[in-house]
Amino acid sequence: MKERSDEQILQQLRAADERENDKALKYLYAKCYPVIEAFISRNSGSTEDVADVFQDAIVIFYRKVKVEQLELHCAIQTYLFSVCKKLWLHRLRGRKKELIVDKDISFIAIEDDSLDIITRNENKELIASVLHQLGEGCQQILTYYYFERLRMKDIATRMGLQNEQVARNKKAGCMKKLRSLIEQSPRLKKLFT
Amino acid sequence: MDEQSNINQIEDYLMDALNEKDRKDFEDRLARDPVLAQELARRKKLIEGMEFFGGQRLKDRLKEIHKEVIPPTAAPSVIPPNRLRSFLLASIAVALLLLLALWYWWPAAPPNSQDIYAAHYEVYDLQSAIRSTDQDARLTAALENYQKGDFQASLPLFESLLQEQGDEIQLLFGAAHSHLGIGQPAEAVPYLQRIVRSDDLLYKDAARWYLALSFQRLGQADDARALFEFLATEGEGTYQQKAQQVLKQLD
Repeated sequence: MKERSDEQILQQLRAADERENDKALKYLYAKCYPVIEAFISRNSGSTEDVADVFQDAIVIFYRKVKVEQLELHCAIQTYLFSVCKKLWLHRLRGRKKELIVDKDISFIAIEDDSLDIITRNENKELIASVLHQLGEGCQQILTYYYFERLRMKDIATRMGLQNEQVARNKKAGCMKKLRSLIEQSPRLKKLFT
Repeated sequence: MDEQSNINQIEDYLMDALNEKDRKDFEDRLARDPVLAQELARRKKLIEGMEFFGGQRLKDRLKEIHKEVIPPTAAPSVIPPNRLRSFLLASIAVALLLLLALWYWWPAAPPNSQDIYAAHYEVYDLQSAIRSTDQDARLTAALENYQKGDFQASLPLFESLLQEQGDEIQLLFGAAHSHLGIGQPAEAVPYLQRIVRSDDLLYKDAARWYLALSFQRLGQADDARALFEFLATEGEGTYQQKAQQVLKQLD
């Protein structure tokens, strides 16, 4: 596996090209998963727990890189490990287990609001269920715009659309469909009125 | 301001896309206009839901990456003793049928798992990967036996060293390659998996390559392919080329 610097990984994640993003995600997976696996397994986590926590941590990290232009003051591995530790502490709540952390592994403090993007609530689940009813094209464009915060020009390139204006019109059409689906759902209608 | 412009401005505000002045103007309007404040609250919920949905989609993508990058843990199959006899008889019958089919189809068949393994498996040169010191008599003996091709003798030495010293990458490599030398890919798999799951970068590609070949030999074609695909795109030098070559053969 080609060794990459943290700066190279951040550049690949910030790129509008999805293939570049995937390369960085695969590299991070191969490099950091074993460390997280060892940590969560030692702290009574199952194989499924490891994958779930690690994937949540990557979602949080990816989003921070894309949206907040995250400037790291530590290694990416340290950041991911710190998020995983925080997520696992949340899940261990109520189990009265003490966390065993290898002294060689360093970590940083993670703000509670960093976890918002993966935190579930009724409102988010309802909206997600409605979004699932949209076609793949609409799901993609809304994800690119709201989750990845891509510019319309980059969305057009990614989706093979003619230009920025076509992407803008497509997004508007998808939002219209979404609104109509929300109107048809009594629970969501109540939430939005 | 028309409805669409209003919505655009709310979205820009929520997504931090307004400049300083527009942001201040919007906040002034917000303080005076309760209807606008209500619309802002609704839009905020909607955007939060769409962001969450985007995160779930990324997680689905990560699940696919997981399959490709993290080799599955081999689950040992357990057969109840009272069913062993009938299982063995059935296995022999199936094996005979397979042999017959293989004989019949051999000339036209594409390369199978065994062909790929036979064509690409080479005894790994451990001497270049492991350095022993004079004080390390057992490691020296393990290496000497391995280099002579006496894998039956090198294996217990590597395994006893592993028991004492824990998951040393070089020892895991020695034990895995001794098993492969004897023709025991199933036994080599757990050792190779431990290397792939370690934070070592030096031997990971080699471990992935031999793990892929072992899976291929064991008939776990999907697991093997995932590893070959990973090496073909993310691997380094020789292993990348070798994996690309195998994928061409498989296709």
